[in-house]
Amino acid sequence: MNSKYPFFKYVTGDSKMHLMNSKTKILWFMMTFITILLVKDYLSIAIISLFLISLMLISKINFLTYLSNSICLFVFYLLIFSITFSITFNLNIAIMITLKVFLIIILFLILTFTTSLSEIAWGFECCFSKLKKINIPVSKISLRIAMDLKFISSMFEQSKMIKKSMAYRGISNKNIFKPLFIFSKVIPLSYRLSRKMEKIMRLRFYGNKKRTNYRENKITIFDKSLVVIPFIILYFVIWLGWC
Amino acid sequence: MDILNISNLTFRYKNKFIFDNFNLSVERGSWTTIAGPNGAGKTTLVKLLAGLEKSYSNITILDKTLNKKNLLNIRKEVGFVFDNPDNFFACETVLDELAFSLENLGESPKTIKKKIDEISKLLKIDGLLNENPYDLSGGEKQKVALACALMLEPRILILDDALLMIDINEKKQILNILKDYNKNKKVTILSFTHNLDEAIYSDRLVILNRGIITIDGSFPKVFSEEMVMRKIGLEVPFEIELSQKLRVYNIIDELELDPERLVSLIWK
Repeated sequence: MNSKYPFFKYVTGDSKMHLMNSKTKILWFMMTFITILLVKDYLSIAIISLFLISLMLISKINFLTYLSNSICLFVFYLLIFSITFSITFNLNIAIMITLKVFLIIILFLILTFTTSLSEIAWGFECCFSKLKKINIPVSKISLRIAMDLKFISSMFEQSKMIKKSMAYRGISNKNIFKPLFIFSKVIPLSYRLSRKMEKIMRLRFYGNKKRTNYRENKITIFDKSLVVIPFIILYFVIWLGWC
Repeated sequence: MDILNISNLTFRYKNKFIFDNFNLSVERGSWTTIAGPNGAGKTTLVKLLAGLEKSYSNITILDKTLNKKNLLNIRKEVGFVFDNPDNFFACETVLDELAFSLENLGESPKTIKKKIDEISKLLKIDGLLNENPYDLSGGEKQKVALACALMLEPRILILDDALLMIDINEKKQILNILKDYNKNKKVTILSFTHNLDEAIYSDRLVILNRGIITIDGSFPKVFSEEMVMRKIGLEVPFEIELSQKLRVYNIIDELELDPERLVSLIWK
């Protein structure tokens, strides 16, 4: 994977997806996530896939970027498929769950490619701001969610760096333990990086009660329709007896 | 009147003492350069002032004691620029980066936009606003980090080798901008560096070695101790070295920092 394909990393742009209001974007994300979890038939999966494909096109980010990022987790899908199949012994369920995981990854990619970390944190904070009244540390939790997303993207960046530094030291590519070695180094490194980021955000006053948003975009018809579409799909899925 | 005061600072990493009973005060509106070789304790001192390291001492910044309770209020008034800008970035575009601190402090989007326009043009980073700060060159990263600090309109600006990766021509321009902030906006500047060329712009030069102030005073006074500086591993700027030698031969009367004036004095 090269820098053209940033895993879970924000790609600058001015598409309608990029310019969505942070709060409605998180609402859209959560609604679509729930819808993917609830569907149980291939027709619904196909409708959601079409919905996500149209969003990928609207985001003006190369379709191949999405595809290469989602396909690079091939081993992960295979693992999910094997585990579900070995538990249920039902090929249909195993395929369905694997497809759902694939769609969730695509959903995460759309969110992270078109939304900066601070906007994600801000969006979550706005969505759950009512919970502050019952003393739930919403700001801290939102920041943690954003940082955990950073953790995933930094894992891929760190692995690239470790691969390079191993190549500089002349460590062979054919070493079968190499992936294992990289993996063991990447996890603590990325975790440290994401916790450091959290510290930086606090140093720069994140968590202040009176936060404003410079890029606070107005809620447009596009935003509203994106939040409503998962509801409509859910309506069809639940009330028309598709599941 | 002092804007920053450190008294009886004691700090150690494990068993190694970095500072033992260290004292320093900085005058309001001044530009103080703290120079020293590697391991002198410069970055540790910056971290202590930023509240990133805890110590047993009495540090007063803007008449407030540096403690957990006052930390946020102090940070609002103090701009920090660290030697490694990657340790400072929290956003994915330069524009977001510049706006981030002010957004968190609840400034209106209109004010933020105005400040971004002003400071990005001043530091010539207006062409980088949509770039990812992590993808920039070292010098560009340092300019963005400096811009982030200036966005806060700080009363004190603390620079930790903040211009290290910027090329000579741009460094001169930035130092002049900082001098303007220092003189006209009365921003107190505390610059930590091992490059004494930058120190020419300051009013006071403090030489730090292994946590101890070795020399402290105005620019000519400090450079009269040239041998001490060489011994601790600091390189004396060429202009200083040349004008000191010319003074020995009675060609000039006092230290001359401007190379062009120095040339004209030689040819007089």
